[in-house]
Amino acid sequence: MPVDSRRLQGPENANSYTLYLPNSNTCRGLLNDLITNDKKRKDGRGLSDHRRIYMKTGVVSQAKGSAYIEQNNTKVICSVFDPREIPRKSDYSVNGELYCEFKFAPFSCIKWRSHQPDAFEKECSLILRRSLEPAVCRHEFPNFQVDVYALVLENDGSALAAAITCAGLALADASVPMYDLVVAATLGIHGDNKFLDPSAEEESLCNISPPDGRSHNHGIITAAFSPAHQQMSDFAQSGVMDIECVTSSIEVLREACEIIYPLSQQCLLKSVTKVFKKKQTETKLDISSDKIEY
Amino acid sequence: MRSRNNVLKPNFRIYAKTGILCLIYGQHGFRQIGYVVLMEPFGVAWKDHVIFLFNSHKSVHKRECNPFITLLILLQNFSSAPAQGVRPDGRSLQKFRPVSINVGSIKTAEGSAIVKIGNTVVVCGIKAELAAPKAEEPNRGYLVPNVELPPLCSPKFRPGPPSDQAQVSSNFIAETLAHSGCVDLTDLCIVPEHLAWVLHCDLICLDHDGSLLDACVIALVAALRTVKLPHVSYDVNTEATVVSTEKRNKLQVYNTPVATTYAIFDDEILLPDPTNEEETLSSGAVTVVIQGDMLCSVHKPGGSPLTESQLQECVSGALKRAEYINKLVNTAIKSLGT
Repeated sequence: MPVDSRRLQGPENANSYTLYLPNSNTCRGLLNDLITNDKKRKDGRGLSDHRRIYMKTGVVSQAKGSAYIEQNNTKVICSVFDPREIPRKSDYSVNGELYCEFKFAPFSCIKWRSHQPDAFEKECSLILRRSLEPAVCRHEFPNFQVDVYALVLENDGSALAAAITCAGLALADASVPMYDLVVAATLGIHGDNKFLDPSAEEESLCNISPPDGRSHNHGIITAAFSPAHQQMSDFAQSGVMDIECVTSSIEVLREACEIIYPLSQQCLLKSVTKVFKKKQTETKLDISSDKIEY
Repeated sequence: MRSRNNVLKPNFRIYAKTGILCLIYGQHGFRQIGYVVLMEPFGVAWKDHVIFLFNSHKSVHKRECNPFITLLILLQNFSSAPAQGVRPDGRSLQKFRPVSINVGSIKTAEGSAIVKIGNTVVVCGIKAELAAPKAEEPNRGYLVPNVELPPLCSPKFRPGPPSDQAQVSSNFIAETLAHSGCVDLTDLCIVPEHLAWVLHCDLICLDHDGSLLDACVIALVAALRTVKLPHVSYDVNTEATVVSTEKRNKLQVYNTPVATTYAIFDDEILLPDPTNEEETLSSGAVTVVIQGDMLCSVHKPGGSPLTESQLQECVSGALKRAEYINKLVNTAIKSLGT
């Protein structure tokens, strides 16, 4: 790897201490650890229960629009900036562009992450962009680009879906013209078990093939929806699974998104009423001060 | 509400370019203060125009009056703001913004803290790794601080390699950490010559509204004080390493440096804890780091010169603030229940 001379570097051969943990858990053991006999997960949820979501807009004062989302321990912050001219572009583009960047904070995962973006982050940036583009009225700002930055502060699974929902909110908060909000959900698949909104442990389980030969289905699906138009804006799947499994998964994800959608709407509504109330008190103050001045 | 600007030299002039863009000319060249939108071309009729003043990107003020008078009033407000002793965000000249600290909220990190000074937000996460110590320092561990100014925090920054400001800040934090001696690197050594801890201290700015270094130092110290390292046993002969997370040891933090930034205006006015707007308008800044009741370092990157008494003033102000911040951090750490 090239040496990054612009940052302070630690030693080259450093390893995460988790490597040396006495760990003898097999795949089956891990599965038993994550699901109890009555189909409950470690944190008490059922398999198709979403974690509780907290959302807030207007968290970054310097940005045009911003949002913060929390799904238990998964924490993502996102900010959107004013349109600017597309750098290094000579020809005219009819549609404006979205520039998306998805980044994990170095301390957000179990292992320390390097500052330089890796292939996975690049892929997530692309998915983020693809899922937001259909919802934005891009013809409204030809030749310009809107910057969307998402930063994962802590990753406890489903970080990409949280980032997409968060970015959708931030775009709306930045008053970028949009057809609809975008919400996303993640489904982890391991054999016959489908984990909605998987945690980091469940995600790592879904990345390995189930031990018994019965079914090879395993993988993670992230899907973004625009519920008002009943449209799916992006679908990203990793792993191997049969077609019936995929089709049934889409249904599960759609239902999950329809639950998240009103939460996003409410969050926006709250921020708009707040702005109006503030403006009302401001105008009241202004009128009184005008009388003194003129 | 209308005058979001502040200390400017009295010899500025307002330029209205075809009645659309309203610029103010001060010590630092042109600065846009708002847009003046006229219903009729500027200069044809002076009376009864509607003026929209876009003071910031978020608030729009509509006012019906003579544009010329409005400009004059704007002018008055600009010049009278410092005289009234009120800063654009409503605080008095020597007042600091409220500080809030949250510790231990990031579970994936060994230690973490989030610090808010006014609108400025900095999050610090500390991750621990294992590595062999350097050959020249066989009984010392590593402490690697880095300040990240992602494009997320301000429109000033662009994606790509770290900006100059980020590099300067990283270096400042590293020096402060090394010279204050708040962490003894020999504590981080597990077995000399074989195994030592590497603490990656990553400071990420989430919202850049001035006084970045102040927030960084508070966040770093608070995060270091929450660090708990798992117990490690190492066999020198077999080189076998066993880590147990059940037993965790607290990292010893010997002292707590606190930084305080002042912005310098017109070579004579010192404003503590400047916002981003004030920082860009100022002619220089000075950061004083206090540790206990001693001066740890003074960072003054260029700008207008300071007299000795002014520097003394900064130091005494920083001393008082350090006391207050330390109390705040202590309360936050206590709330963690350890």
